[in-house]
Amino acid sequence: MEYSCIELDDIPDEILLIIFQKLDNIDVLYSLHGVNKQLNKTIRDPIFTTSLNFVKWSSNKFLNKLSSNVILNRFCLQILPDISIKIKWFHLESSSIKRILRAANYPNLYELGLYNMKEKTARRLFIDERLSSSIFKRQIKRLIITTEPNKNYLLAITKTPNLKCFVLSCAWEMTYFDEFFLQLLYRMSNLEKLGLYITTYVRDTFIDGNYLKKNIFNRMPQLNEFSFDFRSLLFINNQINFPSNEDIQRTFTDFQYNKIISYVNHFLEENQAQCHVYSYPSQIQYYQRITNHFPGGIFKYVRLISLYDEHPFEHEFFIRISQSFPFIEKLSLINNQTQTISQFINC
Amino acid sequence: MAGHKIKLQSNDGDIFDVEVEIAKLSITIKTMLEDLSMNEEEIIPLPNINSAIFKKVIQWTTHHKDDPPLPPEDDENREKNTNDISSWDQEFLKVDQGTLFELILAANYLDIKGLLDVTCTSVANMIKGKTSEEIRQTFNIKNDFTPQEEEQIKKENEWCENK
Repeated sequence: MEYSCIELDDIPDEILLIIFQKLDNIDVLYSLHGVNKQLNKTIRDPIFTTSLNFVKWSSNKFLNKLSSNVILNRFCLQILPDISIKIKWFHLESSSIKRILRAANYPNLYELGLYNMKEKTARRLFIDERLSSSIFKRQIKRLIITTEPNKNYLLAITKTPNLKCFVLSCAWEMTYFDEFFLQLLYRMSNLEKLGLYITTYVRDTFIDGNYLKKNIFNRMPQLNEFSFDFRSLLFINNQINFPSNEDIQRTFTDFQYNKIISYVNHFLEENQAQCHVYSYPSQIQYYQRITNHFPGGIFKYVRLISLYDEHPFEHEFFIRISQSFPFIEKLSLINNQTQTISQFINC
Repeated sequence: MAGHKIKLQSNDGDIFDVEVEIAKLSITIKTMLEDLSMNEEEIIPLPNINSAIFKKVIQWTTHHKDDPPLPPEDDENREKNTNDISSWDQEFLKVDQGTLFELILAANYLDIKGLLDVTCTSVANMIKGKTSEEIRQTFNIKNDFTPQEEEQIKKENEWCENK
């Protein structure tokens, strides 16, 4: 076949957009910014410049997508200053938050996802006027944070009066959610949308519908959208009567959401009881300690799951898991019990 | 009807007998046959495609004629994956760059989503991870920024660095 002389320059813009959309925005900007005037114009399309995600989820943690300082430098010195006016949403990992937010002014930035937040970074971010606290005070309306639990610096978030939407996700178990985080939420009185994805120890009772009505809905009058995923963990000690799953479901009967899923487990070997309640469909990226009581459903955002039970996982359970988590990338399993039902029926 | 053929003519005059079911993988041709009531005996001209490229298109559609329909576009939140090109397609796409771009243009004109998808993914893979200078070399693109414009960018960068 004869060689064709068509080049990338000859491809019309609408097809270039199809090609570039096969890549992450970060890849598009890194490779094509500054190549020539025409490509510079094409990649300034809002498709590539409105939302920049510098974070990837891998092996149970959020990682910085930028693999080297050279690439970070290129973004901070060349790309971000050039497109700063177009950026509305950043997802940033702790190690690069400071440099990226200092790289330019972002007059239209109003949504921010901050991952693996460390105390030092947060102090700079929320308190240091020279860095970006003014961005938070004036601009940010939607904030997503993943963090280690029990960090007092989160109180500084409450100095963001324009915040309308707040999502807090914590993959680790925290001690007693209500002691600190409820106080934090009450300071954000203008919140209209809230997402809480939390595992916490509780003292007397599980987090259920009554708890959420009393401690969240009744205290946050502006709230009109609330998605959640709570796993509350209770040490059994001498307590004998735990609420059943039916008891938990009854507490949600007058909730306005389409569906609330709940299930309760007692782990006698661990002296622990667990109640998992969540609004469905779920947007969470990980689903931990799934037991035999897992009720199914489709979780298209979940990439990581862990399975745990003191009772055996039978073949049918794994079939349900494979159907519910079609995009799973990593699975871990703890179970010491032998399967009791053979998957092959002897005729 | 299985095995029934139509005649398609490339822009350099070659005429191809193609099975209707394979030709209809092109939404453009399907529309011509069904909505515009073109007679299957007529020769359908394809003014934007030469015979060499059309041969490749037929090769691809013949191999993929029994593929299930492509799923709807993925949710934008899903991580982009450019690694899922089948080994047959990888072999098929071992062509010079110009041919690859012509295949993209042909797939777009003929409205063959699967072929457009895989050819665009192939180009995306050629872009991924390269610096702007490597992109210029790979795709033979001329840097048309004037020295003054480059100087201006450099100054702005220095300003950012000192900020």
